[in-house]
Amino acid sequence: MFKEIFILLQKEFKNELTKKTSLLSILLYIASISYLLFFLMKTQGALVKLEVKFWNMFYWIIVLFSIINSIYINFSKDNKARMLYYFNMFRPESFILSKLIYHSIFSSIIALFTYMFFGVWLGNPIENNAIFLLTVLIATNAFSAIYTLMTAISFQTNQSTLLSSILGFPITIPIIIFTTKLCREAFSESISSHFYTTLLSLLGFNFILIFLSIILFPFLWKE
Amino acid sequence: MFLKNKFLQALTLIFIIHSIVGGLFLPLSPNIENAEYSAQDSLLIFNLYTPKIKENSDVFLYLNLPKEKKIAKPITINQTKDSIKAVFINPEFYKGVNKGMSFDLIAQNSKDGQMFYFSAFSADTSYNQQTWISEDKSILKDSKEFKWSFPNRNILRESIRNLFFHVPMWFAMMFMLIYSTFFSIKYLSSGQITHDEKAHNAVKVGMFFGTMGILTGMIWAKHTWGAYWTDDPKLNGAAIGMLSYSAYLILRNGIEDEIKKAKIAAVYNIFAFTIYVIFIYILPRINASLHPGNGGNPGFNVYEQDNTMRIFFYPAVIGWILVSLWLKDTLLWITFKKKESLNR
Repeated sequence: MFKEIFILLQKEFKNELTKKTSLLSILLYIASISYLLFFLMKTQGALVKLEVKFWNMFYWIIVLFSIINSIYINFSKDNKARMLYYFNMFRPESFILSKLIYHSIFSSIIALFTYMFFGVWLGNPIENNAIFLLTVLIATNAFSAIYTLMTAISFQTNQSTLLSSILGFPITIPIIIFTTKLCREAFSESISSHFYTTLLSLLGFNFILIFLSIILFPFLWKE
Repeated sequence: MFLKNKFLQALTLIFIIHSIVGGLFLPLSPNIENAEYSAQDSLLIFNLYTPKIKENSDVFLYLNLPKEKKIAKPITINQTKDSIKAVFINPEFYKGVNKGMSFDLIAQNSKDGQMFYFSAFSADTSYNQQTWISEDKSILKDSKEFKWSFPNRNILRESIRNLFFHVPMWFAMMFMLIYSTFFSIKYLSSGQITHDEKAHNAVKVGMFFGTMGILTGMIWAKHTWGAYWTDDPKLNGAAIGMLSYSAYLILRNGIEDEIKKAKIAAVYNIFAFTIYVIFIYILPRINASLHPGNGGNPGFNVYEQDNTMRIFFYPAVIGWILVSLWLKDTLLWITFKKKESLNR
């Protein structure tokens, strides 16, 4: 099983590195949105420094939507013939695990780049960067876990772009609530006692999402 | 099951009618309608407005501090026809700061039993120990006499009747969602299309009861908290449940092939339900909630201990769950009839 996962991952990375289109296009997308925000911040000719709460809001919205887009792009690359090949060669568990690992790596790259672009154009108002980055890594992992399964579901239907986000949003709300709580810690100078319980529950949520994806994906696989 | 069983139908109707009629038409018991206080040097003077109390002759009054289980007796009580004036020794801490400890006012007489006025006044952290005696269970015990009336609480007042509608709606919704998830799991393991039909119709009925629960809850929230919607873990949980099940229904519409539809919908149903349940159980532990039953609201235990409320509350819960089963069976029957007519 680990061998299968390794082979699938290798294929994903090779595909990505030879074409380079999806990563570069997503990075360009993030960069242009951040730059757009930089211009939108100008009120009456002068640059206004963004408040922490707005910074956070924009950051998570951009990260979430670019993750949804990137996962959609990744799934749409696998055409029918290729899926049939996977279906004959690999187990569904190893297929979904390889997708999960690949997407979580991809989406953490997206999140880190967004952080960087925001730092360049919008400034960095965060007090505790280590906590913020930790939150970002865990939350993007959760997002990618949700949207991997939801995109897999929505690709079975006719109207896949809209549906994956409709299916995913209700389940994303709990994670957004946890992340905003963690971000509040990152914006203040001291860590409150709630921090560790919130972090642990977010991690627990992550594990449950991955566990559910692995259990439920084989039922989608045969279609 | 429901459509041919006359006994179950009759039972459902009896429970529902019992809870609706009783819940809407029984009067509220008399209580302290309004309490005003003023502090003068070492005295704390309460003016209680009590128009419906039958007998003011043998009234006992206490200030109760529920967190510490302490009570204080007044030094003097003056009664007129529809009001009571009670004077307590002002606890030293009182500085007019409206936060920290909140005190309940409890009045008692032989005709009307125990009357509460929750959070009659609130104060800062420390208080004068000497004027307060430990709570004595024998004094605070209510007279066991049964009355055909609901407790009359400040803030809640007449809206207490919503308990017979709001809470059972959520019970019925939760019951339907559990039922639907159970049949989704069963569908995935067996592959019989009837299991999927059951899960689908249960979700529809669950959505109906969920919307009803939200509407009744919104009315209640407007009257007690002052707003239709607040940022509260329970409300967020309800909203997430509704959104994810609407997405479930949309997902079903998007797929043509019946078996494919059943399979995918079952997968999403299990996924959404698991997240929903975990979310409901984790989040209220992290933040405080305004909603009763999550701490922060002292009132809720009191109604559950009230015997008159129980007589209507339990039948209402059972009755609305039975209604949900009945509705689900009817919808199932309709889908089967539609299929039959298509096959002809």
